[in-house]
This record gives sequence, structure tokens and C-alpha cells, in this order.
Amino acid sequence: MHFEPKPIDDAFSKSTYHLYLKYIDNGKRFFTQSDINQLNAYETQLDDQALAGTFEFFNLSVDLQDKALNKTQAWYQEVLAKPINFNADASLQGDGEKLSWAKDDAELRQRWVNWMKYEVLTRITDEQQIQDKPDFKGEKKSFDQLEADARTKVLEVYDRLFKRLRKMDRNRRLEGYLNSMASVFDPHTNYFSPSEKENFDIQMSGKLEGIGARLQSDGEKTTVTEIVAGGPAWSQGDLQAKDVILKVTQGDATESDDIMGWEIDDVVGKIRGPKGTKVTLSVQKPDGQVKSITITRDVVIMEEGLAKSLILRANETEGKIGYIYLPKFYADFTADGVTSCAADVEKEVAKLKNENVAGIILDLRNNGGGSLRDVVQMSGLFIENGPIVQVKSRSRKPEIMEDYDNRVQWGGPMIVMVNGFSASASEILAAALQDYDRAVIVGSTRSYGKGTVQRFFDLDNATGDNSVKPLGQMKLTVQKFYRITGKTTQLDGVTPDIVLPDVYNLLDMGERENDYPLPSTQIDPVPFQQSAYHIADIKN
Amino acid sequence: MEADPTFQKINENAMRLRKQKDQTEYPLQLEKYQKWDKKLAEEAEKYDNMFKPIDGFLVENLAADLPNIQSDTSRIARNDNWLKERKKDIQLFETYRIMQDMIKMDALAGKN
Repeated sequence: MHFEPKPIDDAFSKSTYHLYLKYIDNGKRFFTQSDINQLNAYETQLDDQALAGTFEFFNLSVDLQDKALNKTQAWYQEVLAKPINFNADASLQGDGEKLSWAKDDAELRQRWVNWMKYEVLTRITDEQQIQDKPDFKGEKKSFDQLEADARTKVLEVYDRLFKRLRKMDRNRRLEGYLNSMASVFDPHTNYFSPSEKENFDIQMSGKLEGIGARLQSDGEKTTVTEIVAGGPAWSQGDLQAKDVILKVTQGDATESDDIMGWEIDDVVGKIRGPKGTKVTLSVQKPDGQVKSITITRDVVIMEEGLAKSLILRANETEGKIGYIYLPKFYADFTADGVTSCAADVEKEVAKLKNENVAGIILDLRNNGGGSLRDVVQMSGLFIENGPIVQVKSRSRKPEIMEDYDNRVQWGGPMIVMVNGFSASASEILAAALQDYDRAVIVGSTRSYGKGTVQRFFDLDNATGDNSVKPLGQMKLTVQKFYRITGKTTQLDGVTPDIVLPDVYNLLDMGERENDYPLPSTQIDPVPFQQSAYHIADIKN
Repeated sequence: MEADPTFQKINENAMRLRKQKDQTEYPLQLEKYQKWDKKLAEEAEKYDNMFKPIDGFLVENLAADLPNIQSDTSRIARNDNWLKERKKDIQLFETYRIMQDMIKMDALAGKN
């Protein structure tokens, strides 16, 4: 069923092995070279064990993890038990990829000494900055006091983290192993436990409560993955995707919860609360800066995630321009019945025509995609009819998804805005209107580059044994989509006709940064033409 | 566009982010750490509030949407905030300028 199944062989084993090591010890803080030597013996055997249904390697890894937890916990507790000296000229490498495995326990212990120094140092510095502010009202603490407080705090945080790591049962760990295997196929093929599937559904329908931020935990750090358009965090404006949440403070409370190492559900429990109450998040921005953000909780109103429009003007002598904002290709059920983003955008276009706009800008920046059916309908608003995208399953001919509706709801000048976070359905629309010479694409150097389609398969359907249900679901990459020219948006995304400066333009982002993405391939073009409007003349 | 001071700042900030992403080694000596931390904060400060409302760029609701927007205070607040953000959106303003150029070129080519 997967678009590009891989043979279960030694190469597959090696890939699984390396993804799994990255999953269990990305920071190279738990295993020494001698542990790795033991695991290495299985590097090319995981395929055989998977086929035989045995878990020798997995069991050994769990065993070594448990030993490593005991050993490293004793180390950090020792370090944090007495005052730390910050005189030595040392440094900490925060990126595990740049480190080799520690050659022995002495080297590994030194890594923990450095981590603890760093953790304590950042907290002392934060507190010093707070009490050095002119409006600070409390009693100022000495360096020694701050150092002792910071050590207590760090000890609490790490003890909680270790407790959580120990609590992780075999099933949770097995999930990680199975996912490492699944991810060898491509980054969007994953196993979802029943509760994870529930969270995924919340994400797809966009129905959320709280401050309106989507969070993700890597077991240690809780990171904001998305700000829900229209939610309280979005309205407040300071919290952004990629921010790491460090502390949560309720209302006017003076005590805050240091959430490092917390379970995601526990973090969410602290952040949610009754409408009108306040919560303050201490977050670390991607550049390392720490910032306090106070957000008033509210019901996250879905309508803010829907399509909406504005009129833009700058000069009396120029015509008005219509602007349509679409944060997601949603397809959802509402009180009025079934609604879709394509129908909503059609309504916005009609309203803008009533306002006599001279051109329409469709903003797909940060739009991560969604409903394939809607993107075909929506693209069709701007041409008479014709193919929009080709969707191909493995060993089948490509299926051409077409707009059959002859109406041109907007036949005037059009621009589509994209950025590095515009993915999937956004890229289909931008690509189609670019190929038809129908719209000018404006934006970041390139869009995300996700040219694949996923589907959920309920694993319960695979067994008659009710005692093991619910088993969860597999999300599989089943199709690839191609532009009508036969080219793909996979990896390279859509290249805008006009590139605008963007703060993320120099960062390596998108599908090509993931492990084992599907390659960029090409199929035959299909004939297409439109006469609603051509922009070819201005591109030259 | 390249001469626009806000776009220049965006490009500078993009270079700063790029540089920092590669820098994953942190000093652990007290003075060195604090100096490094301060430098980071100062560099980041330069890009705080770099987006200002764009003079002469008018961003308005559609008449048809007003009754719904004005129906409750949270809607009004959200809408005001949205308008304010879009008025500072330099990429949108540049896109608007490109659109006006397209329209002028269409007129020259005898379209419409």
C-alpha cells in the first residue's frame, strides 16, 4: 500500500538502527562507546528480527537504557549536591550530531557535569536579569543564594524527567522502535497509538481549547509547533512556532512550574483554564532569547481559522485590491452543515467582486495544506476547467484530478503568496496556477516541498482478536502528487516567480531536511490550457 | 525593494538566525557565558519591533463583513489586531505593489 515500499534487508536494518539510536539518545548523553559496540552487533540484523517477530535488539536497548538512567542520575545528583564553580574555561556542545559517543564513563560523566553547569548558569543569569531591572520590587539575592536556588530547581526538573523516563512502559518504548522502522519508508509514514490518533484528529479539524497553540514534546522540551489562527496566543502575538516553553505561571501567582521533562498532557493541563484567566509562559525563542508572554485564555473560535478577506489601497488613483487569507485547506462540519474552504473562498471572491477590486491576492503563507478535494475546486475558481493535479499510487497510472466546472469566478489579475511553511495543498494550488500562467507566485525562496498524500489504516481491521484492541492506526504515504507538467513539488517545492526577503530564507527547512524523504521524480505532462487570464507577458 | 530598510533588516536578521543555528557550543565560564548571553540579547533586540505600520497602506474590511465583525467585542478586538498586523506586513505591501504593476502592464497591453 505504501507508495514506495522498501525491501526489508540489511540496508533497511541499518536505516532503522540509526533512526532508533537518534530517537533514544539524540544528545549522546546516555550511551558510551561500549554500549554502542553491543548495539552495533545488531546493526544489520533488525530486518531479520522484524521478519521473525523477535525483539532481541530492542530488549537489549531497553536494558542498556535502564542501566544508563541509573548511572547518569547518580552523576547529576552528585553535581547538584554542592556549589558549582564556574571559573574553569569550558564549553558545552549542545548538538549531539556534532559529538562522538563518549569513549568511557569518565567522558560521559564530564558531559553531565557540563550540562548541569549550563542548566544552573542559565537560571542564575535569568534571575539576575530579573532582579537587576529597575522595577524589581522583591529582595535581591546574592550570587550564592541564586546559585543554590538554581541547583534546587534543576534537580527538581531532572528528577522529574528521570521519573518520567523510568515510567515509560515497554509499549511506549516499542512505539518508538516501530516508528523508527516506519520512518525509514518516508517521514510521513508513522504509527499512531489510539490517543495520538485522537490528537491528530484535533489537529486536522482544528478544534482546540486553551490558548490556541499546538505543542509538541520531545520528552524533555515542549515546543510550540503552531499558533492557531485567531486563538488567544495568536491575538496576543508574541508566542510563535519553534518557541520552547520553559515555565508556566498561573494568573498573578509568584510561583511558576518549570515544565522541562513534563509529559505533554501535564503541560497542556497547566496551560488550559477558564476563559478570562491569565497564564504566563516563559519561552525560549529560536535565537536563544528568553521571553515572558502573558496570554488571556479564551475559547478558541474556529471562525478565525477560516478564509477571510480585506480590501487593500495605497493610492487614490489606483484600483482597490482584494486580499484573501487562507490559513489551512480545511474541510470540516459546522452547525450549518458541511462546509469547505473551497466554498468559503468562492464566497470571498464574490464579495470582493462586489467591491469592484482590480486584482486578488491569495495568501497561502504558513498554510500547511489539507483537503485535496478542496484544492482542486478552489483552483478551478480561477480557470474555466481543466486538470489541476495528478495523483499517483504505486504501480497504477496517474489519476488526473480535474476542475469540471466551466465557470470562472475570478478572471482578473491574481497573485498567490507562499513561504517556506506553505506545504502540500498550498503547493498544488500555487503550482497549478503557475503552470497555467494564471497567477504570479510571490514569496520565500521556495515552499516546503511536500508532494505526498497519506491515509490512515485502522490496525484493528487486521485482527479478529478483540482483547488486543484498540491497536491504533498506521499513517501511510500512499500517493505522490505531480504538477500537470509532470514535475513534482516533492523536495524542491514551488519556486516563486518573484522572491521576497524572508527571515527564514537562509535556514534549511522543509521536506528535504527530513530523514529518508521520498525522492523527487517526474511523470508525463497532461495537456492543459486556459484563457481566463494570462500573466506570461509580465514575466518577461 | 532591496533598498527598503525593513527588507534590509529582514535579510540581516535571516543571516543572524542562520549563524546562530550553526552555533551550538555554549560557554560555561561565568563571565564568558554572561557576556555571550548579553550579546545574543542585544543582537536580537535590534530586530524587535522591526515591522512598523506602513505609511499610506490602507487595509480595510469589506462592508459586507462589518455586521458580523461588529457583533461582539472579542470579534472586534481580533479584527482590529488582524488589520494592525496586515498594515505592518511588508511582504503583503510589496505584493500589493507588484499587483498594481501587473494592472498597469495589462492596461498598456490593451487588456480590460
